[in-house]
Amino acid sequence: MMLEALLFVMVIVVGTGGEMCLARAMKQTGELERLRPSAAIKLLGRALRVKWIWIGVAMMASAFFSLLLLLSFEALSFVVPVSALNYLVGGLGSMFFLGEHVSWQRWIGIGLVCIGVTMVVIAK
Amino acid sequence: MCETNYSAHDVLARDPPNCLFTKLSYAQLWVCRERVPSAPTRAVEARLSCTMATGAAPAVARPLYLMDTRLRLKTYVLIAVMIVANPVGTLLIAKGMKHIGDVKFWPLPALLEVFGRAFGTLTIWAGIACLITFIAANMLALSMADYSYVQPAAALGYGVTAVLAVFVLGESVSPLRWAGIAVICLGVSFVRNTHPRTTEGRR
Repeated sequence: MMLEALLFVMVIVVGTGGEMCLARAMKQTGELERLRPSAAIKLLGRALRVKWIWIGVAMMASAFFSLLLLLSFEALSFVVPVSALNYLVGGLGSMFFLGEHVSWQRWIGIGLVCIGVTMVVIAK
Repeated sequence: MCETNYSAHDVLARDPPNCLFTKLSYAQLWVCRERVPSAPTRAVEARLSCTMATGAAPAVARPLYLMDTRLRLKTYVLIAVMIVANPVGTLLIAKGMKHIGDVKFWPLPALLEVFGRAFGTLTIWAGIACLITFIAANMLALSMADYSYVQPAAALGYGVTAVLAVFVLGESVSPLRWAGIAVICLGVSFVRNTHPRTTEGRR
């Protein structure tokens, strides 16, 4: 039970945290000025030099392996809907870690996406 | 109230309450349209809008509505790439893996042989290319838009997956799944109504 809870925390919190580290790295790297392949490749190359990228990749990798471990003894139909909580954790993390302004409209949107993703996965 | 010599992102980041300029940047010049109906949209610049908000004309390099529109356009294009590339990549890899026959993970030579067969398939390489495109588009989208904007919007990929399942794989999709996709779309439409970026350019 304890291990299960820990793995869920790993999948949801660490996985989303990893993505947020990626977001932080990209914000530090700068904005893509023009939608051109050359500009995009240059920006991505610059991003690889930011430490947050690598912290994010490590966190996402550990979340992925936790997911595999969790799936070895839990049903997929239970694990994936719980993982939809990613969106809520993402909203909270955006406010407190990335300093974004998450308005009530965005919260409603995030809540609906959470419900929708759960429905899609349950229906499978 | 608004300060002089700022960028759109500065104003959005500070988000001062009751600042007309902030409302204007969120709602793309609704104030100007309401208050100066005679002003042609393309000629209305941030200078005018802030004059209305503060009573002082600041130095603004670019019209705010142009920055807003460009940011939204770039973000939409990248999100569109994300929601197509991810399901297509997954589909191609799934198809490729079905064609390579039996998959054995043990002993090691058997696993290496599986890898050999998998990477000898063009479909798998096409799938990997799609997934790399997805990751790149995700990173580029995050370089300009909020995480709390991009993450929910990317959930539209579930809709693309369902469409692919019906039209490419000929599978049937249950009404509950379509209902879930409709709820996702509704959620994304709420997120879309917010400004894609609420933080400053660099930290």
